[in-house]
Amino acid sequence: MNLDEDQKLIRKVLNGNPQAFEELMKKYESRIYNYILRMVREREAATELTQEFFLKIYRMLSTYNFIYKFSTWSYRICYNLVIDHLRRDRMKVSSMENDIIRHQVHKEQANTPEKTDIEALEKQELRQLVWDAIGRIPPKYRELILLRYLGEKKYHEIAQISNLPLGTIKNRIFKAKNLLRQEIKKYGLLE
Amino acid sequence: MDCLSEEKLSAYAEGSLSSIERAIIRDHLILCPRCQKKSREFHRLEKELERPVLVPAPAKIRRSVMRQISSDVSYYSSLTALAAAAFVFVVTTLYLVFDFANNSIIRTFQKASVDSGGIVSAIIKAISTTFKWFYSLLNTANIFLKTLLQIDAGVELIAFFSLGFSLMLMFFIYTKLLRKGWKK
Repeated sequence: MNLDEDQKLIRKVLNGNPQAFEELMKKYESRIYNYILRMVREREAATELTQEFFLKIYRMLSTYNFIYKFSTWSYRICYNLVIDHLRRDRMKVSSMENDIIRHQVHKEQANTPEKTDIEALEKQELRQLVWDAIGRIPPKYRELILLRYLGEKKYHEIAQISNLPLGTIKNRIFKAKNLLRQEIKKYGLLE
Repeated sequence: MDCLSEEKLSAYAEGSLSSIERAIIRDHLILCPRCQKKSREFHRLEKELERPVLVPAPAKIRRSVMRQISSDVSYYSSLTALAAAAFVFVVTTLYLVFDFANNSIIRTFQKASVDSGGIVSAIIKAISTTFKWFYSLLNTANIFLKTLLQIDAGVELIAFFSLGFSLMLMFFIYTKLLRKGWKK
């Protein structure tokens, strides 16, 4: 059986090398954290859930079936973890948290040299607006658009992760995009 | 001429349509400024979605997870070591109590295994083998001490040493686990 890079690392972990798990974490922590953060919209909760997610993954590795892609398997666990959390907490939608996310990203970007012409700024602004707007769409659309673009998952993989029919997924992602388009159009930046 | 549905235009921007569908949409877009505008919007949106804005994950996540993972490993290692030390302690105690000098415990077990049958016999055989193995181990240690260090400790003394060592080890691991409240 040909193992991909992730699966080789899993094999090492299962053979008693927990350090190989750190490599897996390095690869996935950023996107997983951002997926969780944009779903739960609280930094503390996102940090705790991300830790819980990786520990869960580590403890469940012995049940991992090598015929599946690790990323799909792990996103499925992450998806369920977030759903359970949202159900438990009946999360309140807070625009303040969105501001915190935006502020953090701006702080990061301020340190990196960027083209300063108006076009580049507009592009930057549009990207920021789009990703801010994702936080304002209903969770049932948000979770799928995040899996598609943050998790870089294909439609059939999203179906495996979420247990939803393919048609529903396509429809919800389209609706999410339409909501985002309407939202961004208000700023006149989509022309 | 009817305009294209927004769903089609979105799928076109995403690149998830067949080549025939793409060709039909391209033809329509040449003639329809309204659909052209919407198509441009979906394309720009698609481009921005493909470049996620990522907030850096706090460094404490990885630190904390790796710390807990190594604690998991040492928890299970401690339990295994405790079980092993307890096993050595029990075997040594039985050996010293019942068979100080002449292997009578091994002979007793061997006799019992012949007399009984089935599972009981198998269990007795296993116990007998354990004691035989333990006796060989003590003998080997004795020979090793005699040959290399010129010390004639005798099997019994080594058995006492093993008893003390396993007891100490059990105590050490037990207190360590007790301090942690038997948690990982």
